[in-house]
Amino acid sequence: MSADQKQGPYSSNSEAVRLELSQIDASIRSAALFFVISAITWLLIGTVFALLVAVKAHQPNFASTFEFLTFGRVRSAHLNAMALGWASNIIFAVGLWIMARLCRAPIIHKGILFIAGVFWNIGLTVGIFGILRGDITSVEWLEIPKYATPLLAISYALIGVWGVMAFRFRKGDHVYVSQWYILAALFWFPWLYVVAQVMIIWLPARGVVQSVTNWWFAHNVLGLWFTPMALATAYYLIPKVLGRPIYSYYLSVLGFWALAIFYNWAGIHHLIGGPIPVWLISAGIVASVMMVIPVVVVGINHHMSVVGLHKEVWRSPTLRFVVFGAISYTLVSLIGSAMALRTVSEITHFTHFTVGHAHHGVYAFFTMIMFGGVYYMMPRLLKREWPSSFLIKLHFWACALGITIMVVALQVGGWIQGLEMNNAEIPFLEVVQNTIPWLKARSVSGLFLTMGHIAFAANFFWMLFVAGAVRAKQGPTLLGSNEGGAVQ
Amino acid sequence: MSKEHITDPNAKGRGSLEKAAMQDEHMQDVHAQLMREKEEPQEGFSPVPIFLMFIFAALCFWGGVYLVEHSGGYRWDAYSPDFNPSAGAPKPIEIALFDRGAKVYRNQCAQCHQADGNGVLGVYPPLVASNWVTGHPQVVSRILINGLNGPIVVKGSKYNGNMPAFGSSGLALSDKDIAGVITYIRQEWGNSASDVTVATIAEYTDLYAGRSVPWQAADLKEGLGPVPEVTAALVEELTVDGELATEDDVTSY
Repeated sequence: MSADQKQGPYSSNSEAVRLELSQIDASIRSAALFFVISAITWLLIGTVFALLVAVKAHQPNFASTFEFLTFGRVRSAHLNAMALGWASNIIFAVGLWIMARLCRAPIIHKGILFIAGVFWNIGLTVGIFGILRGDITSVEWLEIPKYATPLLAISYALIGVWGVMAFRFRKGDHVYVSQWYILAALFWFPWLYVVAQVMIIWLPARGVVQSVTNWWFAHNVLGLWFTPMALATAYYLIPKVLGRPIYSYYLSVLGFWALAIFYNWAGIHHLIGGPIPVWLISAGIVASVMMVIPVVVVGINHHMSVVGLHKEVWRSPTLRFVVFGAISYTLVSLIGSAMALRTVSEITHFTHFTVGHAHHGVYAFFTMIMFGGVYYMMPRLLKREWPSSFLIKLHFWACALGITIMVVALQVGGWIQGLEMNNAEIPFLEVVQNTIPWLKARSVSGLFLTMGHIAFAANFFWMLFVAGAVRAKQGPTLLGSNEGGAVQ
Repeated sequence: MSKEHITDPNAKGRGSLEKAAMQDEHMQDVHAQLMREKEEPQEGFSPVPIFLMFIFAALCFWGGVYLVEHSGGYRWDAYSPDFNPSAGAPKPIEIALFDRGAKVYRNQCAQCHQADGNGVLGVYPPLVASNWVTGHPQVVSRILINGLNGPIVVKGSKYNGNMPAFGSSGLALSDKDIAGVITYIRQEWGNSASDVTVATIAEYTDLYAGRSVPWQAADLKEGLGPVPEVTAALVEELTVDGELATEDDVTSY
């Protein structure tokens, strides 16, 4: 069906465009490779931390003989390794690559990008060691000690600027929806990070302003850094793989601006019941509920772009992950809007429900889409194909099952925990004991995820290092029969 | 949407060169992914479904109503979602004189006069069933405001101590605290004398603000004013107390 599709202005059926894309891919190759390798390394390190933490939650004596392996430190090491190591590195790789391609602007000083990437990862390594040493700050999502954060901020500036430069020197009149998201996120993240660092760590604001800033930052990292980058990736890959335009430009506009306007307020719902002026919390609740608008809009836009092509989606490694992530985006966001309501928050606040929700967002939505992005980007950067479709399937099923088990276990267990905590007749220790089976299920889900990550890493390094790995000529690695043409 | 702006001029020269190279098998191999890549993404222009606009309008309406109901009037000091700014200023919680007095007694008096009000025989006089306490309110107020020294007989025992002043010349308790603690000792431990209001104490403190020396037991009953009326309900009880005071068995020195 795609063969006789109308030729668009940037069609890669045109040789000039193909050449241009090839040059852009080449310009970002070394830096993007470095970011992907770093991201996967952090993903594996973060997974080890995650397993430790998960087991400690129901086996408190596990690996507790060393101070640096105590729960408080390993949990924060896990969070930062995943948020700044895995997620941000993969954003730098996939996000910048998509930005450069859509702007049709090669990365000019790729050496600076590469070196900035090296320093970002040095800063992060120092930070994670600092956390394990005990230099951790007491602020959630900003645990990295003072001596590592300036390096992170400076490195970020030198990385993010290349996305902005690509946009500045873009060709063509039309700015595609992925470009809006990436450009905005490239400005949102440093603004969030620097303001939060200054107001909480360097020149601390007084009193509850700190906690307001803290949750404004922590929630916005998800909503204004991870989310737009994952949505940009989905918006790029869905039409790219299926060869079909995105359903509606108007829905894209509405979705983007609604996110930009409402998300920024939403983080305050973490402080429901807290000692801050009530209008601020109520505004946070309203904004959280208003997030239904961009979520439904993006959901419809993605769904209508994919509808009728489900076989192709299932056969393409890229889209199998991306569509899983896109569906999760709708689910997790609607649950999140509900959780912001006072009556629901009374139950879910301070329970494992919130932990489940966080993983639902960062993993089932963001990470799955980024896996899809890597599956699409790597063959184009390396001029090779993925060596094993079995490993891709293993990766998908282990991760899909793992994250589903985790979210269900933590949210069902968390809901029960919340109801029990609100019941004054149940002793607190009993409530804690009742969570243990659910926490064990979470550890099991962790094993699934670990299996998936190992399959992913094995496939990736196989592709990267094994000489003479499958050449492009043999066609793309798909998850099913090849009939009906290549979709990857 | 489908405006044709296919190539940029810069790529033209290289493009034609590359065209020749593209014939090369190796190049085709290398570019295989690009060859099979679909077009760069485009957007369709389907309209936004109208029912969505209704749903969003309803959401915005709900958001407005929620903010009006639960914004606490956008005050920095409103913390309850049910705070109603048009209900006027919240009334401060009024603590009963007796309860306030109980607290003052625990902090200021109980060390000497003991928590049970019995004092220590021969050292600190008892307050339980003492007519110095339950008698004319002005007597006990004088002691509180200016203090007391020298010998005094309470319930048949002789004491010779030093009661500090709690008025402005001493520990400077507020009129409210003094009224509270007097009311408390007159009504706790089975004592059943009248309340002593803040207004009464204010009157007494004005009266004795200039006095810098403590009272002697002998002077305490000199020049008392009329027993202040508390409330209509208490008048009866008061007169009984007043009579009791005249039958005082305590000898004054």
